Amino acid sequence: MKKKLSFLFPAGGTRRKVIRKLLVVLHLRNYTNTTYYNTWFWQQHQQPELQFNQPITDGPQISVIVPVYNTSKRYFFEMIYSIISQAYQNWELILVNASDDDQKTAYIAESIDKDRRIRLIKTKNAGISANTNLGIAAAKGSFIAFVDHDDTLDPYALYEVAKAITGNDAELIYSDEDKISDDSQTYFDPHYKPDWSPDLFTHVNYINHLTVVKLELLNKVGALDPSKDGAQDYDLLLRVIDQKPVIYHIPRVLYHWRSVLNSTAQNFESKRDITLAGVAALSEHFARRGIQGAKVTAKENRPGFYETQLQPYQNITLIIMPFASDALFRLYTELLLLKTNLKNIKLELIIPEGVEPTKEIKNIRLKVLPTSHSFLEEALSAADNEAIIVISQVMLPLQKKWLEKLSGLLRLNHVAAVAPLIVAHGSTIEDAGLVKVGNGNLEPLFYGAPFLNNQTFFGNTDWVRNVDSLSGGFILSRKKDLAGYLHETKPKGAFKQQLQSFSANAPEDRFNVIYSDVLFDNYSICLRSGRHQKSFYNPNLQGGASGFGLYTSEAAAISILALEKEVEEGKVL
Amino acid sequence: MKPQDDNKVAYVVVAWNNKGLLKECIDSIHAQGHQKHKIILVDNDSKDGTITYIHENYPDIEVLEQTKNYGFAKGNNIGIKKALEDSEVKYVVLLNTDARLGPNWADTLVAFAQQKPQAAMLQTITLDYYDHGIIDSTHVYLSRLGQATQGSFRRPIPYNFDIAPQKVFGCNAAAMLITRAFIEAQPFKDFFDETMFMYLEDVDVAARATIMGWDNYVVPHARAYHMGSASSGSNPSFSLYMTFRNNSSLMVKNLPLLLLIRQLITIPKSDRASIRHLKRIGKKEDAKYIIKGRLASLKYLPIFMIKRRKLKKYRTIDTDYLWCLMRRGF
Repeated sequence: MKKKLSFLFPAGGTRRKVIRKLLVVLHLRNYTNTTYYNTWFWQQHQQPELQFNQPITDGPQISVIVPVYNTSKRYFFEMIYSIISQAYQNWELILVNASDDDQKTAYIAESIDKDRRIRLIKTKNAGISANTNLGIAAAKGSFIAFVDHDDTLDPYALYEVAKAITGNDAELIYSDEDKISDDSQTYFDPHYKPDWSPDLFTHVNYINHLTVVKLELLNKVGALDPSKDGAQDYDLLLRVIDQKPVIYHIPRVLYHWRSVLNSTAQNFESKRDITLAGVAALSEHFARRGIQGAKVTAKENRPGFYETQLQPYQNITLIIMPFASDALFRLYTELLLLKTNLKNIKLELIIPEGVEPTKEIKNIRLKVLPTSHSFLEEALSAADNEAIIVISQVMLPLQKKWLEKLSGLLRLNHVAAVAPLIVAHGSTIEDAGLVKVGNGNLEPLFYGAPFLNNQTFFGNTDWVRNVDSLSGGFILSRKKDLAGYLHETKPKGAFKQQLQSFSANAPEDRFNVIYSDVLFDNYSICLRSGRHQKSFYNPNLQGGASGFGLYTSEAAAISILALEKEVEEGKVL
Repeated sequence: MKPQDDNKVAYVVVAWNNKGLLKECIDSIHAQGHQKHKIILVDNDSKDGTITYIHENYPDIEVLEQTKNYGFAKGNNIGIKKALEDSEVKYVVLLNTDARLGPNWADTLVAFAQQKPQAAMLQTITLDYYDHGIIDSTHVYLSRLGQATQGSFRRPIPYNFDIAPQKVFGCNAAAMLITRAFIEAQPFKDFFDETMFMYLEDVDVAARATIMGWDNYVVPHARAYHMGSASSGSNPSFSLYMTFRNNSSLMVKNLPLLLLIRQLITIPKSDRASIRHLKRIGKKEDAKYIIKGRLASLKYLPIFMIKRRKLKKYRTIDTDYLWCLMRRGF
């Protein structure tokens, strides 16, 4: 089918362009269309901010290592010339040639005549790791850049890397990347990465290309591990990161990843091996850091993505702030506990006075405090456990196991505060944390964007992320951190703002996490009856396999909420 | 990256009735610093006293007097042949009389060429002589529409070539450096194709170097300045005729068959565009020279087919990569 379609609409042809535009107009394809980025890319490259009147040589020597294996002539030459054309001059290129047929690939051996800085190592193919290791061993430079044999570098790439090394003492450098089409005509699918995000990195290897590592660090952690072929770069980076290097992110597309049509990555068997290698690499990473009981699993149907269940806390304190009217509050608490798996967990629940749940629930210790302006501080001093969850906004979990999944993250020392991803209607992102934008202000990330299958230039919307601040509606943190911060700085504002400022002021080496493997939905309870919008469907009804039924206890909440609002506005006495 | 002293550079200048331009041109060569060099002036039978002028003012310049106007191609061939007689000469610089070299031009290119054993031709950015904010050329290339074009012609200066040295299709003969190794690796007796007489010989050499697997580079770290077509006189009808004649000839001579077919298909299309352009600028009557030129190239077809067959043995470039290189219309 795919073959027939590509025959009818040849790549780069007018027909395909017209169809693509049509799909955008019909909203069947989002605006992250390849053509828009491609145009932008060429425009940017026509106006460089730098003009060099002499070659740039000052800086560390960078050894570019390329394991070559049966590379087709064109890809090979494009790679070679992209490195020869670097603005930065102090580099060497080490080609580790493991091709099968020397006669057919004679151009590889001859390519050392292209530039005196190219060196060639001939070897028998022993897998990508072993081949690359040969290159690392022969490197003379103090930094190692890894490049694949059919990809190309931006002319600025090594210049930017050298600048990061001399200016910031960086030891591990990574940059943004995009893809280049098979015929080298189109640049598309860019990935603009966030700055160093440890929790995103254990979720997926987002660093990928271009990666430059200090040779000293490599000597310390050892070379690539051939038993992890397929995820060997992930494994190496995890080992390097355990040495706590200075990590620097260059926010600029410096690497063009070849998108080959008949990629071997489509092979199911090889995918399985890669997955197993990745799981092993991550498990070893957690073991090295002394974190016990980490269970790493690969995500289904998403090769390269991993989920880690760390040992959950047994005793957790849940503080629910006085944020709603009594009736709604009581209902909310009941619903929340109903949707929580409380096996193996002793939950201490701290809520305002007079709104205790009517039903008795097992495994729960209830504490009530009078409502006041210092409710948060009082609740914290009343709490007995280390792990604290504060909720100051209506939201309900979509998974029953949310407590285990989230609380395990506190076992990581670098985590300051954790929040789940909050969605509306189960599909639109309501709260994925706050990030610092260009002017230094905090702005919500992905607000209103679709949650599932939404690929953006900034990665997918459903990735686990480290953010500059959490919005404060939900915070999981340690008691001493939160109480200490509130005691010291005494932040002003509503409880939600206080919590937000806590996470925004986390220490330099601590990270806030949006853990998107746990979802909360804040619209499942505050759906309003269709007042502002005409609808012939009754919002109190829920469609499903068994026809239309009432929303169970949530339906009551909806009507209560609507009534509350009307009372406040003075419409109903 | 200082060039070593044993790299002698020979400058070849072909002069024809433009004494007025010579002083500045030769002075810019003399200003190239410590470089071991020699200058060869090929005089195409000038009538304005060029030879006496040179003998009086620059006695150390070697002058090769010709008995008639041999044109650009043969004039340069004579100069190059003479230059290579000196075994110390590692690089030959071709310089038009209407072009001037900026400071460090030769040093920059020689230093770069030393790093690249497979470099054939190199040029720096050539700017417009009268307006240094505008580019005359960064390279020459055969575009995908089949036209031989000067790269970045008349573009304002901060432009994308400026970031780094780059491999290009070919170099502009107004001011370029050729390595001795490439000249000696020629399959033909002459460096420039003399049947072309004038125009596009540099694109022909560029195509030859590229398909033979040699590298041409633009190095943006120095400047040269070029006046445009001042030295060849201004006879637009003749230049149109020659350009279009040589254009189809050099394609037949050099391109791999697949690309040749692709290019020949686009020729009527691109010619129609050229004729329209002539109409737009009010030179409708010149359109006939385009068609004349194309027809004349048919006459020369057998000669170029023979050359094509000879050149085919030396062809190493990957067709797809050549197609990519021809897109570099920056």
